[in-house]
Amino acid sequence: MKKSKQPKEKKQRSKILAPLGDVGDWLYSNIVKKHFLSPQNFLVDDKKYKADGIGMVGSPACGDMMIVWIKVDKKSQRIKECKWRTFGCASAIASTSIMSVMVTEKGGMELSKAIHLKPEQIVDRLGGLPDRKFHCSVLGQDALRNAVEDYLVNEKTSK
Amino acid sequence: MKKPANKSKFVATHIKKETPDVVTIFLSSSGQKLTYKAGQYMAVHLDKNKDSHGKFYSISSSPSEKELALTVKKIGQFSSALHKLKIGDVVYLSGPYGWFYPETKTEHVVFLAAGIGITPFFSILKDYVEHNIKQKMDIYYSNKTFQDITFHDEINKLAKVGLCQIHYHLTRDRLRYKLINDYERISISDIKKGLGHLKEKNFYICGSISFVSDLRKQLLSAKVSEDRIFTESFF
Repeated sequence: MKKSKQPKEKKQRSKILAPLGDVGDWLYSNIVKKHFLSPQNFLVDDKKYKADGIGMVGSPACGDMMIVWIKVDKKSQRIKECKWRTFGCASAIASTSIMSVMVTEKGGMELSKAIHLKPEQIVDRLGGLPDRKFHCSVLGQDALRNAVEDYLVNEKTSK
Repeated sequence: MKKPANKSKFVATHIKKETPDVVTIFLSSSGQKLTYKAGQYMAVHLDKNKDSHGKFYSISSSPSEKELALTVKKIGQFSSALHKLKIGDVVYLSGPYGWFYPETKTEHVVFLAAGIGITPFFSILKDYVEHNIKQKMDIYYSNKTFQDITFHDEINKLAKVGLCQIHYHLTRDRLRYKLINDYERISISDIKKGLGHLKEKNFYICGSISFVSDLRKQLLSAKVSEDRIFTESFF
């Protein structure tokens, strides 16, 4: 069988992209693509959403803003809902989408674990992220931590 | 909801060259003294009006020090601009941010640092010495060469007072030096050898994304629980 030749253009693209990514010559994993194209738990309008804790990082003016809303089961101290919104890039969308799944699956993540969720755990679940996009996983995790802290403060003051 | 912090004006009061490509910039503010925890970081902005996140740098001073210190390695455009700062120059800071510090003072903590990743640990170490906190602490600190070791003399002094154990690693130096424990990258087998075992210890890893990711994976493979691993990747 004749070995098919790689088109010149594709070869060049591989050369350029290979050092940037952790997942071969395509920068993003299929999981990243899936969560970017179909984000989970995205909240378009928060006007009527009653959250127990809200966390925000970045600023709307510079684009990389992230807001996370959580609802907490008070008895078990587990996250039962995690909604989010960002004006960030594909990696920020995918990172936060998968993070919202991670903290709500299997009956919800305990707050004590959610507060220590690491960007590396998010990146692992995404099947990797290019190093230059690592900060995207930090955005969601920071906003989540702020939301949990916000919930804990609200709880203290309501007692 | 806690709103993102505003930018505050800081003036460079002193600049210290630490290694050929690392400087510490001491900054003071005319406003209220900044309250922070050892291990936290700040966002640095060169322009007050530009709506950018700025760049993040760990604080290398301890919270009780009069001036705020940021230790910066020259890597890209932004850090090169910081290296050009002169006494009297102004920068804008927002923060503090982050939670990269031991939350309890009872656990045996193991700090794993690569290069400039030492900065949060340096701040924590100074803070512990100042407050006479006798937490059991080991620091594994990896650098390419001996001249790349930031805070070498200060850490050694603090280690003696603070009763912490320092394990130096050099990865690309052919010469041999006193006090250097190993001439390879930090690995779990080194840590096991040094500590006896990995049980009941909290591991804090700080450095490049690959350094943090590799060591976290090695710790997980060695059956260290994810709950006992804390990370801060520099990017």
